[in-house]
Amino acid sequence: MRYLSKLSIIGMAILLQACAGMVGSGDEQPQALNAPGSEVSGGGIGGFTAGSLQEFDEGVGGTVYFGLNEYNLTAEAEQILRAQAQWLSRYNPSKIVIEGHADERGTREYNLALSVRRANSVRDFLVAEGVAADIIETVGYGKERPVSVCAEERCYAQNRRSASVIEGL
Amino acid sequence: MKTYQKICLIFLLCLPLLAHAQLRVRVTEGQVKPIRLALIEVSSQSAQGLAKGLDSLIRYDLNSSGLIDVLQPNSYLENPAYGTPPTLANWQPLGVEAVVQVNVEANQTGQVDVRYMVWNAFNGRRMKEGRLAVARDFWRRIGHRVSDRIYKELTGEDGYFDSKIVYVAETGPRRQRIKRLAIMDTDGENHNILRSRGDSVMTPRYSPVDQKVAYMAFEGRQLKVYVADLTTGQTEPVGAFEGMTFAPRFDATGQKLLLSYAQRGNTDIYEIDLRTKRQTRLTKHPGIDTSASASPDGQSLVFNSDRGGSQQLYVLNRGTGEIKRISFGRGNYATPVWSPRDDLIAFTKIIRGRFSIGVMRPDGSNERILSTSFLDEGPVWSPNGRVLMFYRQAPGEDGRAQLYSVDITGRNLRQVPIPGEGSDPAWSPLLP
Repeated sequence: MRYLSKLSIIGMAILLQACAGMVGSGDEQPQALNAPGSEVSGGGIGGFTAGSLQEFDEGVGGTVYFGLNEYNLTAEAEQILRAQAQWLSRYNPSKIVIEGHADERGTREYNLALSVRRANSVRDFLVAEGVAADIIETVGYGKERPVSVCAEERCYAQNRRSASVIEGL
Repeated sequence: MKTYQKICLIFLLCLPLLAHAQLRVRVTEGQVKPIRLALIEVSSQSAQGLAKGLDSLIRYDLNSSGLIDVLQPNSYLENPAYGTPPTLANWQPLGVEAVVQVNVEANQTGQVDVRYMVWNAFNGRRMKEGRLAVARDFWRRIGHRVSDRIYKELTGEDGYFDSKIVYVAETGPRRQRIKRLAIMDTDGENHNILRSRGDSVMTPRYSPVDQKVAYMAFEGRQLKVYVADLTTGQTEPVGAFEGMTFAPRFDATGQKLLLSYAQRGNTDIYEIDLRTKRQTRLTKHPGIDTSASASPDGQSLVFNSDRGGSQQLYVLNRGTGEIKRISFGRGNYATPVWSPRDDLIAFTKIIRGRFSIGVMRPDGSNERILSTSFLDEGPVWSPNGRVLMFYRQAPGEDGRAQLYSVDITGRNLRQVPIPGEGSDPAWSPLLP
């Protein structure tokens, strides 16, 4: 167990960096949303076209990550989701799907349940941040759709995720 | 030859004692001494090709059980013709406990006629004989049935060779797996891909009484449970649920299906009567409750829950409504399956990043681990409750998924022959 928690601490450290990278850097962080139009010269967050799916996925960050066997949101995940909520209220898509996922280090059935629970944590947070509940759909893919395949914590950490996928923009 | 004669003499002197020896597998938990058997080459006047096929089929079946050790034919000192009693002195030096003879003949109507005879090599008595006739195309089934009868005669337990395995055949890279439902005989023959709903099939489960298979599949983003009737080819979704349903298991009658239903992120266990379509909620807890499996009498069910903080096994008494935790070892427990014999519950255990298949009594006592690897998951019982099949996933991008079987003693871990990669095996009942 001690070994595992060491692994997860290392994993979290890697994650923190990864997530920090995903929100974009410097003044293009969520603050930019609070002052729309000020410094987004011809583009949106992270230099992507304002209001584009790419801006949401890569500029805002469409994906948040979870700890081992966890479904509660980390502070970093909440920061990204706040930015997602702002983006969503600005561009008003008609549908958003929250896709929960789990790493391969659990059983297939339990991981389906865990991943749908993760998706629901994201959903609840977005709704609390003002996103209309009726445009959100949740789904749990368990360990069935890994983005990274290796037998190391760095891959497992990337698979313990929830991706917000915009449809009907 | 002189040493043989000496050994023979010793054996002959011991004969009165050996004549009383019980010709049964001695099964104590964790230890089994396999019965040594001689299978005289299957004889035939009219169907020598079939005889060869039957010979290797029966030999494979009996050896794969781990309870029977079929001695190589090149060590036999005699090959008595079908019906001729074996000469005990020729078998006892080899430690052979039983001699089996099989004969197959084909007739003009396209039927084959298989006869078998089992001899006790201690006292020379005929223990069992029988005769089975079938259309030639189904000779493999008759072969498995002969194996089942020999197995039962020698071990005292029902056989399981004349049954089917369904599993998920996997192709493509790990990130974009194509998962299809496949079916085959227990020895890997008659392999076929079954048509199924959805684009990603998981956890098929065989009805314990007929040819129905429940499975879950994604159809787009919808994860649903389906029941396929293999005799009619019809498939139907189960229940009317708004949201994800998964982890199906039939109860012992095959008339009810247990499944997990995720509602607003929370998963609980439900039961569906497949005839009346009535839905009953069986658990109600904010923790995850999933992977439910019913006891043979239907009075209890074992399931997987993290209600206590980590994934453990719980038993629900349906009469009293009482829920009791039964797993107390270190690590996490998952995918419990109740043995059709009611004596054990098999499970997946996760500890220190390794996955094991194990068994415990229904009260949680006598936990034993039967196999361990990077990822062993999802045990299912053979129809006689003697063997477990599960899947093993090797690590990394190129890690292969394969099926394995193991005896409940933990002996005889074997890879099950499949053409490619596979996961989530399920075992049919003995065929009618």
